[in-house]
Amino acid sequence: MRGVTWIVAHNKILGFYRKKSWISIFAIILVCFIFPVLLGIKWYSKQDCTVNCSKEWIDGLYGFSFFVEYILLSLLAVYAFQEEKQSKSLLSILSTSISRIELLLGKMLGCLVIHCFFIAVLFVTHILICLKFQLPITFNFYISEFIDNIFYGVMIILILVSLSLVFSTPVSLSLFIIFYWITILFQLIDNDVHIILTSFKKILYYVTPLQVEKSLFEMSVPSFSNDELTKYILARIGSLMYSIVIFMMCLVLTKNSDLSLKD
Amino acid sequence: MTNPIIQIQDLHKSYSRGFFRKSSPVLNNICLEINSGEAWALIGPNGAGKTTMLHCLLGFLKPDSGFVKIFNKIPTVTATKKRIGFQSEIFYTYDFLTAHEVLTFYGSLSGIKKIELSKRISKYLKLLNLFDVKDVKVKNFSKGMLQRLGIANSLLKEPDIIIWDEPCSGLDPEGRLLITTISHQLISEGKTLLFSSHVLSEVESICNHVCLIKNGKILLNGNIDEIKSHSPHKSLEDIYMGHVK
Repeated sequence: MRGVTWIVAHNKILGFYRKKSWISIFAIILVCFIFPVLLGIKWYSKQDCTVNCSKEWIDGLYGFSFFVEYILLSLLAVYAFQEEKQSKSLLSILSTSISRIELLLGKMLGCLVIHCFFIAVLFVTHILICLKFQLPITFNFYISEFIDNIFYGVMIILILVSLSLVFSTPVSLSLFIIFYWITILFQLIDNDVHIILTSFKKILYYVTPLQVEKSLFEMSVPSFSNDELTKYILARIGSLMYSIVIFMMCLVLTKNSDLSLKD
Repeated sequence: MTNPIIQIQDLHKSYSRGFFRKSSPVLNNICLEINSGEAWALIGPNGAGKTTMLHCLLGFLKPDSGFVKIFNKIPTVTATKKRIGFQSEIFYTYDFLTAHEVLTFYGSLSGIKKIELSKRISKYLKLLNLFDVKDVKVKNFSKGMLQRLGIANSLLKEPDIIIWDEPCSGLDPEGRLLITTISHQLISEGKTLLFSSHVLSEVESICNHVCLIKNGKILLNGNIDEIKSHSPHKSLEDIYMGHVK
């Protein structure tokens, strides 16, 4: 099973590498990050601003570049099966001895490798810019950002790839937005807003990773003390479990559905 | 009596179409049994349900009712899939890969060992006259070359059952002759062949059994010689026209 999963993943990575359109998108993301950073630093230096101004600017853009990368990852994940369905290459792949779970895991692994590569490139670029302009490097921030981005990448891949196997692109993306952002929506609702909302929130509090996510929401940069580290890990496990539940639901749905003619 | 290796019993399949998901039947009460070593052709007008029937047979589509069994098992079982080679009407694959990479990819997914796979790829590329273009990307292939690559892919597993959906579509006369020769060779090796086609002369030259479908129903099936002996028409084409019109 392991070998077959990797073969599918390798094919996904190779497709990404050989299709110039995807590489162009990544290049745009990188340029979107580097140019504003350089311009910002130049502008701040003219304004006699402190080092912290430049630092805030670069860190802000660093976070934004990941947001753009998430969009790329979402496209990559949703097209993992939509491309196969539209080109009907899913027929050829299903006629081999591969099982549907191996196919799903292979596609996910392929997306994850590409995502990790992006994260690493953006991370290294950020560090290099900081070193070049002698800006302070806050390692806690970088490490938590790095882990978070990989983790949220895994969540996006788990949810979106499995949804795209079952549903069409618009439905997959709509469901993904509901599933993925539902926790953040409920973080914004105050405890005492309305009794119905509060009750609803309490129900969701126990069925979503909201309870652990909330602690993270209040603490943007973990200090990695014992207590906070536990919360941090729990938050990630909660999110992962939530994604796995959606993945399992999709797997059950695909088991009894027609695949070849959907697009 | 021999045990059939392909069994289709009371197969019904319909597609939901349109905004209100209106159901329209495609296959209606299909029953068919195919024994080992037989060569069957599925014939019928466009939209008769031939491809849907093949897709149900391969487990791509789930029947609404009835069942399909291959080697007494459902077709989605991995052990069963290993014994079936399939080629769709057009070989849908990844255009960024070369011919060799395509076969390596599908062969690896079917669990063929690396050394054995390499040997088989060379063997089938040579058989289908594609060895010289093995390092050419599929996007540069003509329709006929792509079709031949698909046939090579379907044979790569060296399966017991070969299912082809219009194998000669897009092929030139030389390519058609090649497919006919390969089919005869496969039948002589004891393989079971099932394919859909619109070219009745090709069907007569390859197959010993035929199944005529129209509007999702089997109008006629059995041994070609027996069908001919019971019919006032002499050729398969006349028999086809008599039933379809």
